[in-house]
Amino acid sequence: MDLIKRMVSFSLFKVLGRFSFNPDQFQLNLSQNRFIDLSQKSDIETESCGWVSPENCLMDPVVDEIFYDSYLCLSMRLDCRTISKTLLADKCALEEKKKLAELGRERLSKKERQEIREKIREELMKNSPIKSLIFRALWNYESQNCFLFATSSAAQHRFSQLFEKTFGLELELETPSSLAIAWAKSHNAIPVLSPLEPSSFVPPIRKAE
Amino acid sequence: MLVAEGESKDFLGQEFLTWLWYYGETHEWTLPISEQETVSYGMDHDEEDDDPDKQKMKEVVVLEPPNEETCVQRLQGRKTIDSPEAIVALKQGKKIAMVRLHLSYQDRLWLFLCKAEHLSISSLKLVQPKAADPKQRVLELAEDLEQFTRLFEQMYAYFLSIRLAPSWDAEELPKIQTWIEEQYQEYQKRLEE
Repeated sequence: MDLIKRMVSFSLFKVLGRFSFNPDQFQLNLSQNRFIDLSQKSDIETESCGWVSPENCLMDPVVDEIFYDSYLCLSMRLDCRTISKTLLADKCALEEKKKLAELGRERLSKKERQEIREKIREELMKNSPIKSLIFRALWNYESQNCFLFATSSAAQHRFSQLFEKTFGLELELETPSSLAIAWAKSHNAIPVLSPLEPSSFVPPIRKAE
Repeated sequence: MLVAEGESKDFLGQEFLTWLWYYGETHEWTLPISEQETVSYGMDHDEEDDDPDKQKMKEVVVLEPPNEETCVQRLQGRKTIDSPEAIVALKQGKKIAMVRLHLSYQDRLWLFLCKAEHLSISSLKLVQPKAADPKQRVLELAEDLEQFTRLFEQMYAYFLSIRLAPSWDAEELPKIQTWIEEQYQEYQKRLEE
């Protein structure tokens, strides 16, 4: 299977700052930010995000395997535990009823209700299925373009965070606005762009003659 | 003077896609990307075209109003941009929020969906790699992706050169408005017939 699919959806980032390649440092940065399985994390952690090998999401990334000429093939794995809100609320309601019967009272304090909720949430989290998402990206360190093969703002945000933490380089999402600013800067047109307002394409109503 | 932080000009995305429609209709769907080179593009499928991808293309146009007083219009199927619904939407001041486009340059044809908000690209079909080596295959796909991106950014840059020119308000905008009015008049005529 190709690392990039033939049919793609993507967001484009501009990598700000210069990339200087040192293989040992690069491998160290990747390893420090590699994906760690949720089962190896504490019970209270609900998600884990990090780099994996582009060839197999169960393996750690290796620097020699991700370089393709001037491209770096990156693969980010994000695992999340999620629980149904309805399930949590219904379990809490049953537990509260049980507690009230035990104590022979009509009401529980806010603190008691919170304790029950936390206990049930932890129990459910331990047994909840894990949802795994893999996001691929292609970074051309010469053109400073980084294609993230996802378009959701959540994926863009997580990827930017991990990228910046790993490589110490900031990412700027290309938008109509950022492209216009870049164009205006290179054409001395910032004074024109700055006050720009949307134009109405609706034909103005002509006054009756 | 710089553009103030947080002051987004992302409205230019909708203006660009709507302008592409106007420009295409009035310039045979060809746009210059440099002094010598042009790209061809379109928003409709072409049954007479030899390319099977273009024949099968599913047209999509989403038109959004400038405020929330009226509805968003999503048109799918055949002849979307020639439909009365699309013409009326333009006349109401709606602009393109999403559209499926085809873009031709030299021997390449790309079909894709473009959303105006971030100019994000979906369902872009890249070249069929010829190499057998996995790394070479990735490089072929990456090269195709970079070429597409470069062309699309050049198209947007051409729009910006017109949109940020002093003649926008006096010349280009009235031309777009006249074109919309003409489209609407033609539609009215068809109704009367």
